[in-house]
Formats: sequence, structure tokens, C-alpha cells
Amino acid sequence: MYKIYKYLMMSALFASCALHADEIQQEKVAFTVQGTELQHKKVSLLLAIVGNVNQEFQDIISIIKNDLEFSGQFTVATQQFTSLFTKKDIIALFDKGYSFALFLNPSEDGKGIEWRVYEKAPSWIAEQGVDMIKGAKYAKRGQLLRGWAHNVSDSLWNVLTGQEGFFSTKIAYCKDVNSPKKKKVKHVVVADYDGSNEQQLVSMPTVSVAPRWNNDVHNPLLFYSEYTNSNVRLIAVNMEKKRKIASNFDGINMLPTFSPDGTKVVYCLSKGKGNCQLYYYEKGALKQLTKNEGNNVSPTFSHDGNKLFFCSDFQTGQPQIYCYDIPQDKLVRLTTSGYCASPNYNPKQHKVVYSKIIDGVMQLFLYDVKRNDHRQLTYDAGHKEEASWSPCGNFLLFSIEKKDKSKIALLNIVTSERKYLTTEKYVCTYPAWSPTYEQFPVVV
Amino acid sequence: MWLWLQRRLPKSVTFLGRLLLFCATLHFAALFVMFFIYKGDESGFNFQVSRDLLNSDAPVVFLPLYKRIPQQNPVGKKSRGTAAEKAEAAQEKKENKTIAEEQLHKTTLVDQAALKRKQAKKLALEKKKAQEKAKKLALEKQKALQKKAEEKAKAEEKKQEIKAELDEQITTTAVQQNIDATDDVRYVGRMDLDALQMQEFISKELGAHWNPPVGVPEDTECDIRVVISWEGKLMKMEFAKASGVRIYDSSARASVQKMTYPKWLWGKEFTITFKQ
Repeated sequence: MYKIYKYLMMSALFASCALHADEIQQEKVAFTVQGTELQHKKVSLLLAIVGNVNQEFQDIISIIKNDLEFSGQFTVATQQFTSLFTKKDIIALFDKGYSFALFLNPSEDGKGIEWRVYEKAPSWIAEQGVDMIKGAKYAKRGQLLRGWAHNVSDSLWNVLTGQEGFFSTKIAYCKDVNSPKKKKVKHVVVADYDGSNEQQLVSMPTVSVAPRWNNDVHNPLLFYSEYTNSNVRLIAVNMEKKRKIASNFDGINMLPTFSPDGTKVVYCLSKGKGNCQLYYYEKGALKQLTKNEGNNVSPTFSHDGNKLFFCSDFQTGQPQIYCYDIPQDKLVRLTTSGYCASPNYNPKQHKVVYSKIIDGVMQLFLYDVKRNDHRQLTYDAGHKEEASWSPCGNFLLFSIEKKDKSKIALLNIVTSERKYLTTEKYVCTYPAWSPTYEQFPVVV
Repeated sequence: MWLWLQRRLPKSVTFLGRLLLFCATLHFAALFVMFFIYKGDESGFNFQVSRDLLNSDAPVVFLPLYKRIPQQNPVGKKSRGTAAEKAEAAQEKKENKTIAEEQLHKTTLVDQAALKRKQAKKLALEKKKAQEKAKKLALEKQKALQKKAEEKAKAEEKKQEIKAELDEQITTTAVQQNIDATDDVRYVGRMDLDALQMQEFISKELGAHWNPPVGVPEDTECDIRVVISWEGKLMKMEFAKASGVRIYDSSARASVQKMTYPKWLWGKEFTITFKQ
């Protein structure tokens, strides 16, 4: 009994001393580093090509390099190596100032591209001082080389930033064309996300406006409105340029928006009555959503498909932005004054971009749905309209018009950097950014 | 051995010994529970200083080592008032005297009696005026007394409020002179001041080494737990909370590795939150 007593005492004594000593050594405190004087820098990357590669692979590498640099967040250097390095050699690369090293090589069967991302790590994480963050083999989809490159860029982007890539997406816009009879003609063209590789999708001898992409990832379709002698009808066209009439009511048929699951559509119809109303289409049934004396246009679905943001002038005579809760049948006005138009919803950040006239100029505004506040994005000259979000939610595509010349611009919301994707030589309007489809859409 | 001792030692000693053993066992059991089972708040001593405190325009009041309760009614004002009134009265008397003397000198042969009557009338008027003044003064005194009484009551209320506030460590009179009651005042004690200084040092040091990547949303943040050895070297570093943006986390980690740590952080474990 006394032995048990003695052993219990001794063990309790030793345990308490050991643990108490550990507690004494490590006093825990916390700091916060935050400041407005921090210098932001681009991340330095090395694109390393391993092995002897052909010109095709070299082109892929250069497209990946352009993609990452286009984002404005990376400076990319490329270097070729004859054979795979050991981890010690990779450490030597990091001593040159690179934050990440991306190693790419064609797969042995030639049907894919293998990539690995490395970063420098402290010894307690990786014994050799280098840690492979992720590696994968990309199986080539489709026939187009730049499609493969953009797909690999999307994967790398996701690893580095945690966000969905946008390099495999497309943009569509309307382009004014000179017709022989001096008749106003607009064609619909499709290009890569950076405005390169422009291809004509619709070249009818009439005005084709307001293109909108669908949300079916397996079957990319573009919906646009086409002027006829009797009405403005809604047309669907695929990448093989096959057109089909989607809606042909009297008057105006335009501006469809698709729910995230692609099963519901809301678009504008006037049915010859003079003003546009919103109609809801699901499972073959068409139901009128708005019934007022004003014009209700530019609908856009929320991320869950339960809310609809649109523009209407039925209350104030000037167009305002509204939010309609479909299940609850509840309408809320978001803007209080001014001329507000062209809302577009960002499902990643739950924000709505719209245009508003300030001092006679259309400027872009952001409405935060969660915080219920408005923020002006642009202040410069030029009417900015028809803004469209990138799938990642970091970029805005819009048309900017100055002195009867309109071009397509790309705005990085985070860095406020702006790029122009078209020139003033052509009048380009109504931009629309596609979602990420399963296969890189290519106009045949 | 214990049994042998029990037999040899008197019963009182064995009893005390058993009691001692029992107390020691309880003590060690309590220590065991305290340090092994219940570790308390894992974050330890947190003095995360808010950005509002660092960047706000509101005045910051540093609490001194001693307290002083302000006196709301200084004595000097009362005496000034009465002295001024006395001086004014004296001046009036002097002026009246000089006027009367001048008048007396001017009269010669005409009618000294009439003059005397006039003077008498004047004196009567002056007496009336003086009486009216006295009445006014009396009324003013009463009003002043009432005001003082009200002020005293207010002062007492304020004293009570101040006492209550001082219990919660509120400012002294020297600082209150420059601060309006409507200002959003931030009260900082010695421990907070130390925390601010340490926070400032760490922010500057890490800020010099940290370059956040371009294009990352403003609300991105990550927490890195750092352990510094007793020799001042970085012993261990891990992400308590990653931001989900690899390039952001990588830049934060790189800055932690580059930094040299001051002596007061040696042998310590702490968490750094990186915010843009």
C-alpha cells in the first residue's frame, strides 16, 4: 500500500515538474503585421523546361508564360535543362531569387504535359530545403495547342492563387462592320480571354447585339439578338456556327441570363406591347415575372439562382437596379437615384457591377450584396457599359466609348490595372465573358 | 523502512508525517491537473493591437502612475469678483467726490443755499441709487449663491462620476483641459503601451522584409506560429491559419525567415497575423 502511495507521489512530482518547465519556457504572445506602407511585388517564377523538346512544346511554354504575366501578378523567366535536377540543384535556383519553380516536360506517350511546382521550404518541413507543392499530368483535350497551354495555366493558377483559372475562357463582343449599302451591320466575334485569336462567329448582314454565354459546361452556346424586318429575335449559335431561333415573339427578344445549373432562363420580351418585361423559362414553361409600366431589362442571376438582379424604370422614370427574390416574390430597389443600368452579378464575391451616369459620364459601380454598400470603380472620361465578370471574379470586361469610338477594356479589380483588348479602329460593344467550359471553345 | 520508522517514532510524529504526505500528494495532484489536463487558453497572452488604435485620429490618453481627482470649483474666481466690485465702487466714490468738490468750488456769491439744496437733492438721488445698487447687488448675490449651490451639486455629481470612472482608470485634470467631452478618447495603460511598442517594433521589422504579392484580395490574411530558441534563432515555424493563397503564404513565411528577433522574444512562442 505504501509502495503504491510512494510511486504515485513520485510520478505526479516528475510529471508536474516536466510539464511546468515546458510551460515556463514558452510564453505565448501574438502580433499583427498590417500597414498601408507595404510594398507589393510581383511573384518571381521560373518556368523550367526539362529535356529536349520540340517547337510545339516551346510554343506551349511561351503561351503559359504570357498567361501568367498577363495577370499582372507574376514575372516569369524560362530556362531549359537537359535533364531532371536533384533537389540540391533546385535549391541553387531559388538562391537566384525565384519564389517558385515550375518544371514542365512532355509525357512519355506524347499525349500529355507533366508539371511540378516547387518552393523553398525550411528544414523542418522538407529535409532537403525544397518542397514539391503539387505535380500532375495534364491529358491533352481537343486539338488546339493554345487550348492545352491555357488548361495548364489554369491548373498552375489554381495551385498558386487558390482561385479558379480563367485562361481557358472566351470573350464575345459585337463588332461594327462596313456594309456596301451603308447599312449599319454588327457581327458577333469570339476571342481568347486576352483578345487574341479573334474569330467571327456570326456574320449576318444585319445588326446582331447583346451576346450572352450559356452555363452548360459540355455544350458552349452563345445567345444573341438579331434585328429582322419585323422584330428583334433571340438566336442561339454554337461554335460550329450553327444557328437556331431560341425566341421569336413580336417585338424584342433579348438579354437572356442562365441560372448556375443551366436549367432556368430569364430574358426580356416586349411581345409587341412597347415595353420590355422579364420572363422566366423553366422546363418548357414561360412565366411573366414583372408586370409594370416600365422597361425591365438586363437580368442576371445570383450564384444560387434564387435572386435576380435587373434594371427597370417603372418607379422613378429613370432606370434603377433591383433585386427580385424569386421564391419569396419580393422586390427590393438597390439604387436610390441617378441613371443606373447593365447590372452583372459576380458569384465568387457576391457583388454586382453596374453603370451609372455621374456628371454626364457613365461610370462603373460595385454593389456589395452582403454589406449593402456601393463603391465607384471608375472616374475617368468615356462611357463604360455592359460590364461582364471573369469566372474568377477578379476581372471586368466592359466597353468604353469616347467620341463615337468604342473599344473593349479589361479591368483588374484587385490591382486596378486596365488593358484594352481592341483598338479604336473598330467599334466594339456588348462584351460577354464565358464560363469555363469542359473543352476550350474553338470556332470551327 | 517506513514500517520500521513507524515502530520507532512516536505516534504524533508518524501522524504528522502522514499528514504531510497527504498534503503533498494533493498538491502534486493539483499541479498535475493544472499543467497536464487543463492548459487554459492555448493562445496564451494575446495583446493584438487593433489597427483602429494605431491609425485613429482620436486622442490617446496615457494613464499615469497615480490618480488625481479634479476640483471643479477653483477658489480664485470668487475673490476676483468681489475685489472687482470693490474697486469699481471705490472708483465711483472717487468720481463722485471730485464732481462734488468741483461744484462747490464753482459757486461764489450767487446762492449757496440753493446750491446746498441741489447738493442735498443730488445726495438723496445718489442715496437712492446706492440703495438700488445695493438691492441689485443683494439680488445678484442671491443668484450667485444659488448658482454656486447648483454648481456645487453638479460638482459633487461629477466627483462621484469621476470616482466611479477612476475606478475604471480614467484621465486626470491636466489632460482633460485639452480634450472635449465629445472626443472619442482612447485610454492606454502601461501594459498596453508596452504592447504598442512591441507591436510597432515587430511591424516595422517584418514590414521591411515582407512584400505581399500583387493582386491578392485585401482581406487575405494568414497566421504563422513562430518559436524562437534561447539563442535567438528561428527554431520552428508553422501556419496556424493559412490564407489559401499559396503566393501570399509563401511571402509571409519568407519574411519570418529573414527577420532577426530582439532579445525580448528569445525563448518565446508567438503568433504573427499577416494582413494587408
